[in-house]
This record gives sequence, C-alpha cells and structure tokens, in this order.
Amino acid sequence: MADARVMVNLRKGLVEFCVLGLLVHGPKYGLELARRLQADGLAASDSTLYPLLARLHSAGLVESEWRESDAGRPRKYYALTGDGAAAFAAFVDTWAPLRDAVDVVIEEAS
Amino acid sequence: MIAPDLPARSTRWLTEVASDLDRLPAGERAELLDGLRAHVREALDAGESEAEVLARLGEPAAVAAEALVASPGPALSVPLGPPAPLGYWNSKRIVQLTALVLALLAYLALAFAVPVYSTYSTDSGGSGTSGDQTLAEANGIAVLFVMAIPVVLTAIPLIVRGRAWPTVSLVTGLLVVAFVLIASLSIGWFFVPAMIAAIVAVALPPRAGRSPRA
Repeated sequence: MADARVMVNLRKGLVEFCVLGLLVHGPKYGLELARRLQADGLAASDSTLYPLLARLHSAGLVESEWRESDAGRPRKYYALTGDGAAAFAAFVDTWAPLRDAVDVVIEEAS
Repeated sequence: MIAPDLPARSTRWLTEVASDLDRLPAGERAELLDGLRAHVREALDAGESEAEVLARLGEPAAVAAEALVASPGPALSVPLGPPAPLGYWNSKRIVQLTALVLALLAYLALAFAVPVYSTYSTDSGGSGTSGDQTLAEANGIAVLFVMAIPVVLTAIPLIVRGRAWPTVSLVTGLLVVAFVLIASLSIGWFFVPAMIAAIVAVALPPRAGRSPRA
C-alpha cells in the first residue's frame, strides 16, 4: 500500500477535480458522491467531501439544490455549472500530459 | 436550531462542527453545514445506524480543520481569478513619489539655481565683496551631501515593499520632518513641500483605494 503521507498530498489537489468529473454526467446527491470517493480511495472519510463541495460552490463551479427523490424525502443534489465544466476540461487537458510525463519517469526508474 | 429533524447525537456532532467554523465565510459555512446535514439524513434513510454514520464522518474537529485550510486546489482559481496582488502603486506610493520629486526639486534649486547668499561678505582684509552665490559655491561640495539627506529619505519608502513598508514610511517621514526642523534656519524651508507630502503619505493607509477580497 502506498505511503499514507504521499497519498494525502497527492490527493489534496486532485479530489476536487474528481468531484467535478463525477458530476459531468448529471447531478448527484451527497451520500452518493461521498461513498464513491471513498470506494475509489480518493477520500479518507465521508466528511472530506463537504468542505470541498462548499468551496466549489463558493467558487461557482458547483451548484446545489434540494430536490425530491424516489427515496421519498428531498435530497440535496449537486450539479456542475458552466464554469465547473470548463474547469474540469482544463484539468483534463493538463492532467493527461502530466500523467504521461510521470509515467515515463517511473518507467525509467524501474 | 442546527438540525431539527435529526437525532440527538447527530445534532450535537453538527453543532460542534458549526462552532469550529467561525472563520469560514458565511455562505461557505452555511453550504457546508447544509451538505453535512443532508448527508446524515441520507445515510440514516439508507438504513445506517447513527453511530455508523457519525463514525464514517469522523471527528468534528477534523471536518472543521479540513474546511479551514486555505483552498489548495487550482480549480478554485479559475473563476475567482488570482488573488488580488498587493499592487506596488496606490495613493500612498504616489504621494511618496511626489515627496521625492519635491525633495529633488528643492535639492536642484538649492544646489545650482537659487542664490542663497546674496549679501555681502568681508574677508580678513576688510574689503567686502558682494554678489550672489549658491549654497555650493559658498559652502563647498560637502553641503551637497547634507542637502541630499531629505532626497534619500523620501526615496527609501519607494524602494521598500512588503510588510516593513508602512513602518519604513513612518520612520523616514519623521526623519524628513526632523531634518526640516533642524535646518529651518537655513535650507530647511526649501524642503517644506517635500515634508508636507511625506507627512500626507505617512497618514495614508498602505492600501488606500484597494478593496479587500470578499
């Protein structure tokens, strides 16, 4: 398993883009997002998500609303804004070459 | 009331998080608490026990700490733009520049143009010579260095940036005043306009005209 500190530092800047990415195909509610992040190993606990969502909300990248659901009670749904979609697109453009460059370094090192 | 429809332990947990978030902007704080409240509700509705839900959320203090770290992500800088840079120029700088220009003008006038000694001097032999002399002509080159003091003093705050700047502005401003007072019997008056500008600059707040980031 990867060293925990390395993981924390790497994750920090990436998780918010992953949240944006998870919303590309439509709104999701909090519990859904939180569990998905944890299942993927992107978040340490359920609560990691909410400070991040609140920041994305303040920055205008994500909007939220209470909406009726088939579960009966209204749920709080999060959706991507236009700016949020643009930020994710910009991240994807940056990430791919970066990932390739890191992969090359790792390959050479091994 | 933080969460009227939630069980007691969850309400306590949320209250504790809320009390640690004073420093967060109000809108962000409300959105965060609303999100957490919704999460607890959703998890309880999904059949999880309250203990389980709270355990998976973690310590209230940890949530608050996470929320209060300076936003690390580059995503946030896309719509917000880069943090407003502390610009070099503001009204205080401009007045300081004015002080420097006035001090320089006084210096040049004293050094080369204005005849300070327009009277009569007698030598040891008793014969008088009359004529106009500038300060340098009368007192030699050394006086040019003395007169340069207010020029240097008004220039220093323009070179300094950052935290020390207001203090440096204050100290150099006071030194200009001291210089003018000490020299008020002779050349000091020439530097009065520069001194006034320096005093105005000291009085101005360092960031006048720049509204703080919301």
